[in-house]
Amino acid sequence: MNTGGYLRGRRSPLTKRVSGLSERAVITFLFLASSAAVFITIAIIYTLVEGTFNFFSFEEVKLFNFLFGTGWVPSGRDPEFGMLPLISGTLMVAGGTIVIAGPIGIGAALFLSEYAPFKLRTFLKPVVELLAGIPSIVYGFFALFTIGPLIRDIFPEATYFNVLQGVIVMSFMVLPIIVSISDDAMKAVPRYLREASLALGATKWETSFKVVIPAASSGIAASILLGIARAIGETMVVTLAVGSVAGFHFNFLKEAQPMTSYIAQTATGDIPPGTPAAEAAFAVALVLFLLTFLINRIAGRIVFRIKKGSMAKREPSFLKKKALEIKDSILKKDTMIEEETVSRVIRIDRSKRSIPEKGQDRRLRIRHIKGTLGASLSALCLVIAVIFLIYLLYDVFKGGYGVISWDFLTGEPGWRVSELSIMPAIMGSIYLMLLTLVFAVPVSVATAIYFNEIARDTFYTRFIKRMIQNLAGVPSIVIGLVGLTIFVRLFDLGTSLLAGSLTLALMMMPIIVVSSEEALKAVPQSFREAARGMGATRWQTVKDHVLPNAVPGMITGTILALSRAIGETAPILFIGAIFAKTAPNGVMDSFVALPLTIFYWSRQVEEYKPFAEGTILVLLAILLTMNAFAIIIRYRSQKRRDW
Amino acid sequence: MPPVIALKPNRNWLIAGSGVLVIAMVVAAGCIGGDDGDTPKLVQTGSSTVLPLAIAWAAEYDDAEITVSGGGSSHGINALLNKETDLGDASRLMKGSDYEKVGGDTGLVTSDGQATGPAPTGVTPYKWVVAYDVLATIVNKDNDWAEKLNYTQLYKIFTDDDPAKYWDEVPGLGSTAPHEKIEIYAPDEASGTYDYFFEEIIPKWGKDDMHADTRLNSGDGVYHPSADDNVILNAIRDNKYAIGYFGFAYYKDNTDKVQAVKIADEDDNYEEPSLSNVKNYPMARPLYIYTDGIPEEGDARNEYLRYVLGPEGQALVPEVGYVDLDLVDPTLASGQLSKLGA
Repeated sequence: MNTGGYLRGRRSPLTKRVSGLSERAVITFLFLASSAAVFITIAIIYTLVEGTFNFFSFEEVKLFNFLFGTGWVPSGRDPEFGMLPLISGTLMVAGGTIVIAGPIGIGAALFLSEYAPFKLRTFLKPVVELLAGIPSIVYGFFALFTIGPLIRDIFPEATYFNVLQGVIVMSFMVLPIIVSISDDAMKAVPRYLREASLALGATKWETSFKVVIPAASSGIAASILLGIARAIGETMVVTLAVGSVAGFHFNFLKEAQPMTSYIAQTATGDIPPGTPAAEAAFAVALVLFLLTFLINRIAGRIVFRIKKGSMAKREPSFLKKKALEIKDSILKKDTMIEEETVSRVIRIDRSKRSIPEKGQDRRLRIRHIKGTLGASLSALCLVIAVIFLIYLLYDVFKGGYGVISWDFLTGEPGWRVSELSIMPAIMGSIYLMLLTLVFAVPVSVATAIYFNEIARDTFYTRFIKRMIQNLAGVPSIVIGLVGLTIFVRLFDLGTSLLAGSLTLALMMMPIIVVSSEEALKAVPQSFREAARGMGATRWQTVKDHVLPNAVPGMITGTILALSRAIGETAPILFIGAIFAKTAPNGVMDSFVALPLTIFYWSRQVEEYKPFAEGTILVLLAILLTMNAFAIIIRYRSQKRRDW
Repeated sequence: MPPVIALKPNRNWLIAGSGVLVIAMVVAAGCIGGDDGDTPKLVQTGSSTVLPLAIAWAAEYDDAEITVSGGGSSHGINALLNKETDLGDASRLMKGSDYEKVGGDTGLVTSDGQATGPAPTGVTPYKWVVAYDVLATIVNKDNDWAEKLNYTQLYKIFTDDDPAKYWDEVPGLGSTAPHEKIEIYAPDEASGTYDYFFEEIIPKWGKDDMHADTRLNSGDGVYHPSADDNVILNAIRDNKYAIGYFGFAYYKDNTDKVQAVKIADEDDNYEEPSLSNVKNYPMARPLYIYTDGIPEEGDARNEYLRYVLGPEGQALVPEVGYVDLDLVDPTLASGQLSKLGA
């Protein structure tokens, strides 16, 4: 604002009017930015519905067959579009993942929440979360080349691509989701319940297992649901390790094609555009979108309820009442859980009413042995996760360390295996990330400010907030299709850096909004009250008192989101190129990126494998550097904070 | 906590820090990336068979910056017609149906894959033959009964027309072959290689009155399709009674793991698959690059095609695993070069 030096100190009517005007302008801008979510949602729906409509307008495609057919042969002479083989593939992957990740995750969460001392906990939680920071392409690579041979040693009948290897790595991929949400839910169980249980003579394990877990059950259920949604939407692991030949079976040792893998195949395989086989990707994506949407919605509700504590019920309308009755019969009522827990505690107490002398009663000894066993088992769950992480990192390091050289990092790439270089890919990834930053951050931060500081709680704001939540759950390959349809084709940007970064920005926007909102919420309410009390306007309060204190948190959140963006493969699968000799030097240039290079090389002859591993090392190094930056910023800002 | 609340924490370091980070990245980008200024840029996309060749050419060619991607022949032609690419790679000829997809008249495409008029997008694709691809039929190293096969036998093994279940049911192999189940590991329908293989062995392939369908579509579970050559290779290496096929370029790197079968398109003119034997070997096909019209002299595409068809570009072809034009027909390269004004 150029109001001249002396005006800043004094309030003249003129400045008041100017600032009043600009205040309205700023708030209008924030409001418009917050509506970006609506446009993104419209873009997604337009993409999926239009593509699906094209698909069904081919005469060989029938809705009934699509939903209930058992043959998926999209490119054959007699194409068949029965989705059940894709569904069975997805079910196997998601189901298998939860069977492994569920127990390990709950066990690990139990250990973290109930047993781990504070120091161990602060060390272990980031380690588990590190698993979430590793890009999915790295998991897929690890599944195919490290887990795969192990499985074929144990089960000789297992094929090169099989469901099991995908399921195993995917379990560790979704583990952080399950652990962190379950841990939150267990931590939220009131302390008096534990105290009551212990006071009545239950052992620590009995308390954890029979009191804490049941009391946290809805949160645990939500974490499992979110894990399932993640597994269903995951693309690169299944594309690399599970396979691309659809078959209607439930054999975990055989190749299968989950829904996301088919969509990815239309990007990379020889599927002719403009045919039902290519348009089928949109119909499959629509099913995938609806499925993940539904699961995320249910899980989101539960998580919301946990955060709010027991929900204060409004008087629902008649129809809603009926619906709620049905829902409550499915989901256990939260209010009932506490009563149940108390009666459970009493039951434990009754069965062990007389506490005998030490050493006299075998039952007591058994109870203690059980307790130790249970605690070690839950600790073991964490150990498994940590071992997996270390093994993955070690394996990649061992394989990729040898190829890292100055030429590999900065040279001009040749085509012979001896002349490979990832310079264009490194530059492509960095440019992609910077452009994503430019597109995603202003809009996201403005949205967060609008909702947290300016907007009142109206139907419209609730609607958009919910929309942003839903966007966060959209599978990345669906975002890839949206980018292809909207940016590459509709906006005619071609397969350019610009189209790629806009697509990634779609993906990152909800994440940055959420982290920025958290940063804003961390600023004490009293700051705002004090500022408003002194006569500052809403925007002045935000600009001068809230924002400066929230910036470190926002930067941290943004860096973390960008470090995710740089590792994403699926959204740019339709846009990125495979080979470029030089770095892009304009936003309309085609580009190669690190994850795409890893993907391409892992499908070449074996000689390329160490180079793929070297590329993974570089990618992980970039990610770790960014994460370290985020941590340093967070740490320093916390140290400086005097409130 | 002191009672005085500092409402403005010192955030200079923050701005400075993140500023430095961003600038460092951009500078690093500029330094490493190097700005070549006026080097023209080309985009090339299409057939995954042509892809390794395209990458080799793009890497060696210095007068343009070429970005290469795959996606299939149909994608390559379609992208060219939609002006999304400068060079469209294809391992098959352009068809009327490619024009149809952009709303064009199918009659404008000759049976030779050339366009006689522009598509509605204004693009008139022009075909350049740039190399030949040899397809290899592959069996296990220990297979000593099917080291050579003719089209009749391949038909009996790979189609749904009364297919042979056991090796000794294949006509002409007789008692030398074991009574063991045949297992097929080969590309899936999405692959251009699949199309080419069956075009060769099934008469009238793709027509309404074609003689048979592929064994994959017979549903007897003998044909295990895969989109990944690695899978095919490993499966055949591990199974003595397996058979399959893929591009010679891939076989060339794996001669120690599997063996290639000699093929005859008649009854007994068996020919070995190799680059030098391309004229006699029946399963060889041309690879194409399509451009919008014949690029004029001085156009980056013209320069590039001159390089590709010239001695330097062609010298790379055998190294990648394909057949250079001179081996097939010495006039092929020079004839096309003259159209480019060379």
